[in-house]
Amino acid sequence: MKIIRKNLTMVIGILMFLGIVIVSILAPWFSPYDPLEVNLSQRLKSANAIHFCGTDFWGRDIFSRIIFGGRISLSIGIISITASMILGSYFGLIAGYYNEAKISKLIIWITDIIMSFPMIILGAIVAMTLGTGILNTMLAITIAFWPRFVRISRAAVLSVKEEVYITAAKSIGMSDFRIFRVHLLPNISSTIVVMAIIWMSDAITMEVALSFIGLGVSPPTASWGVILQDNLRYFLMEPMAVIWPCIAIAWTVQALNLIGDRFRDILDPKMR
Amino acid sequence: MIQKYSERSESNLLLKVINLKTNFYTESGVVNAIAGINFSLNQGDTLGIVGESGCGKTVTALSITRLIKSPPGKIESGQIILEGVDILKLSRREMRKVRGKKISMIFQEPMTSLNPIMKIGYQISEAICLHQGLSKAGALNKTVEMLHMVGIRAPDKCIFNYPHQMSGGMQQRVMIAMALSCNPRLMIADEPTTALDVTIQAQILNLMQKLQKKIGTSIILVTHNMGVVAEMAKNVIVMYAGRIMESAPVEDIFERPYHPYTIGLMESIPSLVSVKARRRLRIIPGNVPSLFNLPTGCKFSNRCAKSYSKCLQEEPPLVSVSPSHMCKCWLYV
Repeated sequence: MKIIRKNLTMVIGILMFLGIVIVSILAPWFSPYDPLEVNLSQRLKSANAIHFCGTDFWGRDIFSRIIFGGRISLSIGIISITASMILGSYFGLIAGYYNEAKISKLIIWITDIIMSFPMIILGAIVAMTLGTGILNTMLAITIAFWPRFVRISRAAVLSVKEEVYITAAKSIGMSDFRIFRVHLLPNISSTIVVMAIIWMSDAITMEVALSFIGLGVSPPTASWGVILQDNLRYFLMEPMAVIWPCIAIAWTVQALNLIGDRFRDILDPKMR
Repeated sequence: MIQKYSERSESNLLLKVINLKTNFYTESGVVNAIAGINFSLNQGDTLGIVGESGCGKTVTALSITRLIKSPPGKIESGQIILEGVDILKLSRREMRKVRGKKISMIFQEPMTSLNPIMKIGYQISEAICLHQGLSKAGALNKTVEMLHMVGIRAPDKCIFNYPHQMSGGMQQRVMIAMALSCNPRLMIADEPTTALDVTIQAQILNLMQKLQKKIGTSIILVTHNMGVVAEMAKNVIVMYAGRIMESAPVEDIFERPYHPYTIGLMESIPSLVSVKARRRLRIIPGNVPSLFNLPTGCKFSNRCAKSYSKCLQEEPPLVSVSPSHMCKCWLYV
């Protein structure tokens, strides 16, 4: 109980996030309608007892579409952030540990180039070369986010590798790889995981943005960005049709930020 | 008779450093941190290396383990022969096997030499796993044994502690346990007691002596504390500006120092007599010269009361003043 009271914001965040994840995973049980089912007699209805969030221009149930869209948006966010975390921290470790070597300069150079592009432009480049779709959206987000992980993990390694215990580890004959595994990774993992949780909300909003401008998930597949784009055209006729998906996005982002903020404090050894 | 003695000491020889030079290539120029030093160490003996800050003591210690950060540092030339093998010629993989198993190191600040987020039992057993091929459980058993040996109470509970839960003296004991866990032939202690208070210092030094007798390890003790040297060392090297100024058995250094620098060091040790008489502590005037801008000739000449014209022009050689006593000063050439 005491732990829960101490970390109330994080518990709320976790509950909020778990809630939306469970609803998304169990989407077929929760959604009253097929998200793609068109019902032209029920177009642009406001929220009522049959359609909890109303219907869109084609008479599709918005509540069902949001739930099924959550499957797509959340999995894109989680998978692409995990991929860029693994990729980025691996390269960041190398770039930080062999700071003077050429390989490090090469990694930083590539990182800087990628980070100089706005993320939407990166998404556009991927969409233009490989086409739109769920997998390509994940790829675009991974490409956009891994340089960030390179930067933070490199910065963390640069400070950790100067510690005496790294020299001490070398003085008992540890190999570089073992130093990575035993000393460096555990020391920087808290930073990386916290940033991954916070950036996961960025990744989800990036998916929304890409899908919204037609460079991400392509309609009629429901993702939060696609729902927004579909319904924005009829904003003046049925404004709530736009606001409901926005609430789902805001809910998720807020949940992740609540978790991430508190996590940062807990995992920081100096705060313990 | 003398021949026999030298033969015997030759077979006991553990470490021989020949003409070791280490440079640092910095942006403002090349620094000769160690400018050609020679010394040797027999099995089971303790060698003290003393000198002021920045004279190359730590660089010597790191050079022997080849842990000089490179770049900027680089071991330029020389030989470091450990048990007949020149370790400067070993590959990185072979060198890793030497570290920990044959040479190990203790550092100045025990608080920073342990990983703060790792339980100490795990840290020590890492070292044991590396070199002895024991299982995790076996290594942990050995860890408890080592911790017991360095005088930690309740070692079976202590292995689950984080470093910050222990005092500085305890942490240094843990470091010693880690350094000795694979029975190294040579232990390099880089100012092992500087960060500890005096009573703990005495305990740690006693412990090191006890373990040295038990395991038969040789120790290179890097320090600026003459008292520690007198207590521990058999032979002493006095370093200044990356050079050996005087080397002798510890009794000779204290009874009859030759080099003006060593004499200066001895005079700056506070003694009971001088404290009672309320005399001011003697000091060596001036500062250690910057390694970028060393005097030509003898490197100590600009602070030396006895220097004369020759000292300013030419650097003196290291010559024997008695069979076991070497000194680098024009006064004795």
